[in-house]
Amino acid sequence: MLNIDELKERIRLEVLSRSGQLPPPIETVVPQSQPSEPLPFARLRRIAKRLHCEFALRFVGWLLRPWRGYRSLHADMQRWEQRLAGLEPRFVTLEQLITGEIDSRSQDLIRINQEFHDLQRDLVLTRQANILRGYELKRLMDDLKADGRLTEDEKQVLADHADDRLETYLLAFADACRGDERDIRRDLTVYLDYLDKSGAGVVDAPVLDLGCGRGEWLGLLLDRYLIGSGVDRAQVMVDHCLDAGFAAERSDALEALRGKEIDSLGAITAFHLIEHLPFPLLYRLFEESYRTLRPGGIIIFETPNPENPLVGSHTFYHDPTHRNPLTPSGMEFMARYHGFVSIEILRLHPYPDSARLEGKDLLTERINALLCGYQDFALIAVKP
Amino acid sequence: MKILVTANLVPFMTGGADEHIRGLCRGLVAHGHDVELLRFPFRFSPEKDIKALMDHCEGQDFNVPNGVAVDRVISLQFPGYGVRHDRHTVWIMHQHRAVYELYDQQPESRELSRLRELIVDYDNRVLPRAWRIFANSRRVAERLKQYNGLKATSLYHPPPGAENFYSSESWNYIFCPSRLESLKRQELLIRAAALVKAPLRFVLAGDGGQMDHYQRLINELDLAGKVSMLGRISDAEKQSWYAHSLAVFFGPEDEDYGYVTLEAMLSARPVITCTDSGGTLEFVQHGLTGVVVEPSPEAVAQAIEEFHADRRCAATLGQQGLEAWHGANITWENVVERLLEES
Repeated sequence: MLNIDELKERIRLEVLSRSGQLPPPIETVVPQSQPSEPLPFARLRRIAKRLHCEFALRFVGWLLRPWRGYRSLHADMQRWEQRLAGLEPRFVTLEQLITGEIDSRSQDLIRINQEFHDLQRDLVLTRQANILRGYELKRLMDDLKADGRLTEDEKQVLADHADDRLETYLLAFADACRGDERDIRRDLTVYLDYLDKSGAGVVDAPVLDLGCGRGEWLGLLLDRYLIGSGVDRAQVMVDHCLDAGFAAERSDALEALRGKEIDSLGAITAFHLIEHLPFPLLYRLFEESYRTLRPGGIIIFETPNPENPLVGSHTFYHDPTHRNPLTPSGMEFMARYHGFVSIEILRLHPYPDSARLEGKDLLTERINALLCGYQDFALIAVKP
Repeated sequence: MKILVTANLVPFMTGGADEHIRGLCRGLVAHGHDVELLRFPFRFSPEKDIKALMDHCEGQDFNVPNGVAVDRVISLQFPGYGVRHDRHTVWIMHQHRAVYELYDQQPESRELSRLRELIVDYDNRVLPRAWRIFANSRRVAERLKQYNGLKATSLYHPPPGAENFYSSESWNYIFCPSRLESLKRQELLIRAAALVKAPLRFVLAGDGGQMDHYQRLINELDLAGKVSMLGRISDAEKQSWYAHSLAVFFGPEDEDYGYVTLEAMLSARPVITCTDSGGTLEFVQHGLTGVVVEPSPEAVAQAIEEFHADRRCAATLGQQGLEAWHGANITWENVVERLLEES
């Protein structure tokens, strides 16, 4: 007999299991087979004893043995069947519990995955900051070595290093805003046709990429066996390109162009560079581009598109080193003024469809065109 | 139809009555009616407060309050059934018991005697005005006949959460869920437990004014390992305790209706009740859905011994109880139909 505490515990567990908070207990008690006594054998035995024919009764009993065994087996089977029928709903509950558990674990996994991604990004930023600190040290050492001992120039060195801190921030910012490398490369493939048409990317008409960054574009050129190189002001970026096997050097864009021979380049590309330049430099960039391109050579300058008011009034200013948004018309005129021909404005990267308002009426389409339109444009022009 | 339901409100003393009131309102709403529940704040003392509420109720005419025609008024309790309406259906839960069947047990006082006169007079005056009178059970109808000479039709309703009761294997204990009050007579069971030789446990659920008294009794009789009081338990716990019991003991003194009987039947458990238990006798048929014994520990003990000796009989009676429940059509749909029928 169960004592009161055992009863209470059993009831507690049953209440929990019925409310779905606990898997139901699986009964392990094997039902006991009760020997069935289908005939009044005791009485028969007494009668047989009185008549002195016990042997005959035992013989009858022996004859009936298989039948008695079958009866008992049959009763056992029935009991087991009942027991199984009772277990079935418990298994269903268990299955539901397990399904619920799996669901909640999947949610956990998604969350962990997200956290992992965040950590990975932090790690990249940290590594980058470390690299820059390395350069800082190296430069400090170089300066000290060059001077032999600390001189008046020390102040200048320190000032330079103050700029490095800003640069570190900007690199971190670029990294945080940077999309997936594969996406960037996919977006850039749109320009490959223009290179093909102009015949750029060969030994006597190479591509020069200004502000090459991590070299996504250079990688694309290399994949197509096109010849080109990049320049970037940040040594970190240049090293990254060199490590990846792309030709790159540390230089200011304008300086790099000034160093090139007249009619020596097949294409000059600059992705998200020109919006960083003050107007006089921008002007000289067009001048120098025209000078250094061979006839038939092209410029491809990609920049944020202020035709989209969200870009022009908001997203453009995420980057503190952006100056003013440049307009398609303005850039078209700039190119024409400098003598370029076959000028084309290529509008790119619209907002995803999910951002668009639903509806086919004129107002909705107008709003969609205005706010969900192209976020970037490219100026493509040919030197005649 | 626009239906006004009147009942009492005893602040922070929720019990079976609240479930009953809510169940009726839900049933009426489910039937597609507009229902307004009006609850009068009720105090058991002092007597003058009861008198004041009686006067207030009797002064209420709900035929067209504020120009809104009310189709029916259904009243469940004293003294709310004193309000006036041309089609006033009284479904009486119970009368003010302290001045009727329990009067003799009360300490004598002039106030109570005065109150008794007032209430009997009130009931005799206001109840005949009702368009139709139903009683919560046959027992309540009988009392109305006996004390007030009024005829009422009995109308049963299901216990709360009726759909959640279930039946499972017996774990060899007698279950007795009820408030721990003298009227519920758990003492009979405790004293019977001392006499029972069979290896059984006795489980009492619920709390109440007699808890200390019963605990002392259990200790005095040296039954600590055999009889246990769980105190207040949840509905889910209650259902499981019912489901695994061998039998249910419910032997109150002149009960009005008694959910315990119905809950035991819903759990396919035989009920042991007493010849003077009132409302329980409308459901417990001796030898069919349970046993009805004299209100003595010996008789209760013997009934328990018999159930232990013949467990198959106990199971059969329980099963027949469940079948009797299904046959009785005790549903809120039925209650609503009966309360609203035109003739």
